[in-house]
Amino acid sequence: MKTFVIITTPRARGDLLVRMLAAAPGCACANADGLLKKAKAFDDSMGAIAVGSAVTSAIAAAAGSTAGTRACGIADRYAGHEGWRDAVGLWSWLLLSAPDLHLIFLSRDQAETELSMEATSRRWVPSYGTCAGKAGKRMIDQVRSMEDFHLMNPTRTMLLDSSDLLHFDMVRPRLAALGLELDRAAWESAIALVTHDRKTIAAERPPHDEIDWDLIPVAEPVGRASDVGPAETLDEVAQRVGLVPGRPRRFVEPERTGIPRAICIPWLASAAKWEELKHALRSIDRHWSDRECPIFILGPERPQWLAEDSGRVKFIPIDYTRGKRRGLHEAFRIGTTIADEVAWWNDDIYLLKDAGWEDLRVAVTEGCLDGKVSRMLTSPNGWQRALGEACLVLHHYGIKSVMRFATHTPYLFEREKSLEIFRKFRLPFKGGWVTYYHGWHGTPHQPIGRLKVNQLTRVPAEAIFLNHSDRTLTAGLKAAIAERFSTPAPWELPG
Amino acid sequence: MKVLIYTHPPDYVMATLAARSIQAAGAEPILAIDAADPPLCIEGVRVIRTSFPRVGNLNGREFVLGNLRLMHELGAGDEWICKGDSDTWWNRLDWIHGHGDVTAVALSDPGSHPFYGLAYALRVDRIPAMIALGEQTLDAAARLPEDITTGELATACGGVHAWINLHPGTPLAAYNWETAEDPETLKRRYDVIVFQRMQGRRRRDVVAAMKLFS
Repeated sequence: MKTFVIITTPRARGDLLVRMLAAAPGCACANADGLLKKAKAFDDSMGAIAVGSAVTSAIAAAAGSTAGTRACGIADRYAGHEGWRDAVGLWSWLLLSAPDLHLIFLSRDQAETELSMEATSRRWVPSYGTCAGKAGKRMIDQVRSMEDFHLMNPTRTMLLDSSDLLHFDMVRPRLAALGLELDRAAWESAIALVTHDRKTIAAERPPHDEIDWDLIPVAEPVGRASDVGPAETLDEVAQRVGLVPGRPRRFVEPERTGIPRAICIPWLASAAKWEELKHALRSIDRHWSDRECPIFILGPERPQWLAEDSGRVKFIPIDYTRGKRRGLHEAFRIGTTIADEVAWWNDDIYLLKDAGWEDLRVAVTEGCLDGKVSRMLTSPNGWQRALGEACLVLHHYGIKSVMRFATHTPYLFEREKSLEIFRKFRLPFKGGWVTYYHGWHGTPHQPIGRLKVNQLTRVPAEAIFLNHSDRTLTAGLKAAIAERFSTPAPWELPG
Repeated sequence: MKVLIYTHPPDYVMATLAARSIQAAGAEPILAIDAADPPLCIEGVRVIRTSFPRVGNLNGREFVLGNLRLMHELGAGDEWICKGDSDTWWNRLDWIHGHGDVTAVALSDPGSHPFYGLAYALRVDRIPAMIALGEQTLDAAARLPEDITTGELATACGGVHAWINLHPGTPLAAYNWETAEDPETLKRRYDVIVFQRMQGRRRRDVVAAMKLFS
């Protein structure tokens, strides 16, 4: 009787091959996860390599072979969890202990789209069904181990990948080389179940023609002098890292408020270094052309200088008790869906000249991130890491080049588009949001150029925004801002 | 003639390729794994286990003497026995013969490395004398790299034919990763080629380069 063992990598459709062979005439085959490791552990404890009959008998029993069985085998998971050393030890032990045994290595086709995650992954979401699958480093290592062992034992091992199984004319002769006869009826009965599985996967991605791909330019990476040296492309990083997007966070979709436009500013009193928010609002009062839209301040506490009757400026309390990042994420989710169009602002952004909604319709960017993803992913800065992951996730969904939209300027978000982002992506608590939004929706964009300054000593004519960090908010800059926006806004308490 | 290669799990693939090249060159490869290594099966290749300590990458009195005893045992019935490395490619055995009554044939860098372990041949009937000398003279506490120490014993027990490294006529060479020569040309030119993973090359690079020769 011919004996074989199928070794599979994760999601390689081992079940399918088992079904095919179990239905083949004269063949018995079954899943026996873990059997090999247990058998080898027993053998190790005995201090010798088992005699062949003991191994083949165990396989025959696990496969359910009967008197008429001409070939029998089992399928087991890839066993080299500790790496090549484990794998080569187990596989060599098998071949040495049963001289007539053959190994079938079944791996997932690395170019294959995800087919079977609905059954095997707890992180499955239907949209994976339409994504190009990515092979993780661990799986690539496993496949390499299989290829290496096949090189060492070419006639006693066989390499198959999941795509081979889907074509009868491909898989039949391969198995026949090991003496395993597969007939078309057995193959069709097994493959029919796969077809059924595939039908259960619902595509969620918007139709291709709804995405304006022309607005997503393939930009040249922008580097600094310190960036010299070959940088990995986004494709290369994605292949190496093998990130699979996480399930989107659960959230309750808010009712539409009917507010056409609003400005939203998250604000945390404890993080304020000065009266940034008060002056940012004064700049809006002076320069923002839409003088009717509400301005929402989202945070754990109301600004003390905000009048009780604050007119268009309204305060929305946000729960920050579970941490700053979660609180900010909550503010982002509420703020970006509170009106049909939202200008997402920060308290350290000031308008320097008259502007309005039309000035935000073309997003601004600070170069292309593609060549920087590898470095961002290993950054000690969590915000940078989140941005790097955003690039990989977008790449996973077919976005070939990702721009840096995080420019510390106001961002225009449309409610429906924001909801789509929340439904589709697992947004980090901090970082990457604007990249997901504009990257996914292909927002028209332009380089930021001289639209933003971080000081008031020399302001170019094109500059619309002033933005500073905590570090650059010097006493001189505070004085210049206070002088420039000295007129109190109507929503401030007197004095 | 037999060629003995000491290998360990990370080098199994390149050792397999080396063994196949040795078979094609007309010799019998024998792979020696350590007693603590997991079992190893390579089709058509004899695998044995050794229990004498390897002290890292083949060092120490115990290893030198253990290796000589093993080579003497395995070489019984043959005039010569060879030792190779996992990352060597053997095209021919011609480099061994025609050098008079020497005890060993090896690659040498006279100034820095008088006897390389990547590929050397020992006359089997001289090995007992080398063992006896080693038992008398080798310091158990010294590091004693296998290749240099074996070369010193061979020199003292009948002499060595040294192929000078990088000399125009030398048939043993390290693979030049910058080379524009195709593998067929190199196979005609050299009897043994070593791929030198230790010079910053990953094992995958070595395996890929060795596959070019198969």
